[in-house]
Amino acid sequence: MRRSSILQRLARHAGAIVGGIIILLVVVAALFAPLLAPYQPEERNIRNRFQPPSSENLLGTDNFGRDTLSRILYGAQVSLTVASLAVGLAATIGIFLGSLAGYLGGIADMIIMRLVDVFLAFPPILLALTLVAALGPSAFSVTVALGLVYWTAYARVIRSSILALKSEDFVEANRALGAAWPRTLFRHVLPNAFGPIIVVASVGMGSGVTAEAALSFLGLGVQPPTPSWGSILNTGLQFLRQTPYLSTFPGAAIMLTVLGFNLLGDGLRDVLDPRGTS
Amino acid sequence: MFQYTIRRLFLFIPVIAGVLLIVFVTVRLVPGDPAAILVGPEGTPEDRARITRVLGLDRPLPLQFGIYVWRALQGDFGRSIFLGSDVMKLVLTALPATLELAFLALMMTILIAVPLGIVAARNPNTLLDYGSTILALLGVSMPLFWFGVLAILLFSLQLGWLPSFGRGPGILPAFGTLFSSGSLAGVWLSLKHALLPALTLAFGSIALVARLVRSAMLEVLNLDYVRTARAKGLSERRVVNKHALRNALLPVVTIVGLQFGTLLGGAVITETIFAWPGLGRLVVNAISQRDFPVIQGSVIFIATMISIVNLLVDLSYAFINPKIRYA
Repeated sequence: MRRSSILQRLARHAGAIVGGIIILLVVVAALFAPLLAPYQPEERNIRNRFQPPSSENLLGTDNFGRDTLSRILYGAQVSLTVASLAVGLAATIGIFLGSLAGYLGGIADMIIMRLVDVFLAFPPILLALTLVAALGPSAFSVTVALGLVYWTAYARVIRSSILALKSEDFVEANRALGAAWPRTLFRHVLPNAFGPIIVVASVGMGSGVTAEAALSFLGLGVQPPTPSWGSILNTGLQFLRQTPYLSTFPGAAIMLTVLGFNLLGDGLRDVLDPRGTS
Repeated sequence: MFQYTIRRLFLFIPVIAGVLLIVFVTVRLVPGDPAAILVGPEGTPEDRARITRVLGLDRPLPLQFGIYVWRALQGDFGRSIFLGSDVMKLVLTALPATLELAFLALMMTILIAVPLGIVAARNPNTLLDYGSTILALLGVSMPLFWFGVLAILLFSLQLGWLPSFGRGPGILPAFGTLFSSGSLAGVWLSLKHALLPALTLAFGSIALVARLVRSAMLEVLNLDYVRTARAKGLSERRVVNKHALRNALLPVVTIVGLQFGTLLGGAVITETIFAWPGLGRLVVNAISQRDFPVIQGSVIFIATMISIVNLLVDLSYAFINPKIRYA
């Protein structure tokens, strides 16, 4: 009942609708890339290098004569996979540590929250860069690195909702009835903290897409010839004089995707935040 | 205030210790023996054993960490594997270029975002407001490396107005030349070099701060004391600039201060695009050369610098706003 009313309110939120449509388009592009792409993403054609957009290559070609549209469509797969796995990892770590901190309190709480402070002392991209440097450049390293960088927001959200819930009567009652803590956590705390977590995750998807592209742009992400928006953009920067299109289109893809997640996140916040509705 | 300062300082020490630990552990995650990297493929096993002993890599890890921290406290982060020079010296050589860029970007943020936010808040739900809101939303979503590339495309390649890489003589040194020889050319050249990278770095912050100023301003403009000021017959300009702005800017000060960290993170990418000889490029180059002492030293240096700035921002905010001290 309550959940459907949230969906209804979301469906009336202009920003959330636009964001949702954009994300849907990107997801469709990623899922159906093999069907939609006019060429193989790694298919080279040296005689067809640096082509501007045309009827054969809608978005032009790169330094190996590869079709930019096909590479961007396949790039969506990398982008969304890395970002969503990273968000999943970050949420898992954050929810685990945050609920430990909120539930145990005392010294455990203090240590975990100091750990949060330590992670916040690094600019996210710099910490991710360092971690990827240590793990070696690959899609897997990027995912792990981003998960380790972005967990703090989830920890804070879950901790504060546990602190708010701890004194609630029904949690007291549960404890009095002898319910085990994990059960209380999964049955009562998490469903209540679901709203803020989903907002953090939506905005986090945007940060994840940007960060993956940034690391690939610096040559530390997905390795060639696998297409990634960041690495296509980097190639575009190297050959800016030969073809301005090569850096323009992948950048637009990144921005559109991030915009979609930001709009959806803002919409969710408006709909879920009780202060916003009053 | 004194008590609050002491309390904040006590929170600062474990954070720095944590920063050191995380960077140390991360670099130790690297597969392969650092001594092997150092002697290279032609090194004999004896060379490797000697390097291992010299670097103290045969000692237990906690002891190695202790020694690392002890040296780091004295500003000794070891030597670069590739350049052979002292890491701290490399960091300090690159620092002014990065600070120059971050400072310019911060100035741009304040000078562009604050008026933009005020104008939007004074004309709510007009075309002007929607325009700046959309601009802000695009700015928050736009990756800065794409903005940088587009800026080079337009201003360097198409129009040919501004250089796309390098720093020129640097703004501060150029001012030195200005005073000693009276030549403005150096200052002009430095500013031309700095303009695109600084704008690239500032773009995201401008969008964020403009949005914040708008909402803070809207909130304040609806308060009773502003209504009183208007009822007194003060001009709208005076109400906005004298009465509303001061209170609206209070939360903005913190966010602008905290942007310093964001800017230093952005500098890593901006400096790579524009070949700007700062800390960010030092780190990225060190990573591509797997020069771990340099990575370790510069990352720790940057994180410490950000922590110090954040501490100062917190303290100054507590100084401006007494409510915080007793929270």
